[in-house]
Amino acid sequence: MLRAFLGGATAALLALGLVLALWLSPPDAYQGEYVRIMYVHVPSALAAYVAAAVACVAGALYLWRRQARYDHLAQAGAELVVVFSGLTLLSGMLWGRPVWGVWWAWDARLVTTAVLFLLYVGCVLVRGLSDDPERGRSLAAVVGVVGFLDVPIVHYSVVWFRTLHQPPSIGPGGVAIAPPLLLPLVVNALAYLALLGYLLVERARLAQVEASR
Amino acid sequence: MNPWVWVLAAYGCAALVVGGYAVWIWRRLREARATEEVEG
Repeated sequence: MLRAFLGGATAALLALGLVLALWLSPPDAYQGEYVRIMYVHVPSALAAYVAAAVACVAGALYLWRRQARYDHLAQAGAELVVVFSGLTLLSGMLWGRPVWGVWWAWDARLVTTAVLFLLYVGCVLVRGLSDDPERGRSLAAVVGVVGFLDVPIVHYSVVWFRTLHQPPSIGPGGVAIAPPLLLPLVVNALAYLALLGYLLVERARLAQVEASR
Repeated sequence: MNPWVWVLAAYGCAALVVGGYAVWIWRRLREARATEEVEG
């Protein structure tokens, strides 16, 4: 019942977000139509942050309590960091090439995001490295917890370092984004968070089914 | 190049990456259920 509701709400939010992003959002005064890539790029980065938080908390709970359900959630969280940070990097490259003139720059925000992606690729891979499954689960939990330390570094990299990437448009200092662009961004952010929740539930369920076989 | 090419490429990547992962989960779940039915 909860899964069906979450799946339906996610599909509805994604459809609304797509209509707002591709049809109803006006082009940006400076970037023109390219600003529409923001509605994929920013929500996927947010989803990657939240997935890393889930992998961190669930990993820490697994190391403490040794209950399989926390390991399943940590596994789902780590894979979803790879999915959403990978999408952040891809959409950023597709935005950077026409706007900055380059696919990639050795910029603090880009490099720390790539490090986040690689840390959680490592977290997914390390699970299968040990012959002892319990040891693999513990190693993955440790990498999942430690990997989360990169999230604040990614977020504040644009504040701490001089970078090509723009600073945050939404923060304690206010909202530096026009309302016609803000609404599609908020709806897409909610849609991606709902999608993250749905995929977390489904992936954790798969891990549970596979562990019981 | 037309800006919409870049925009649609980004949305296509999102659909492929996230959709591909979701389909992979659903297929594995369906296989697990089918195995349970055969064994059960």
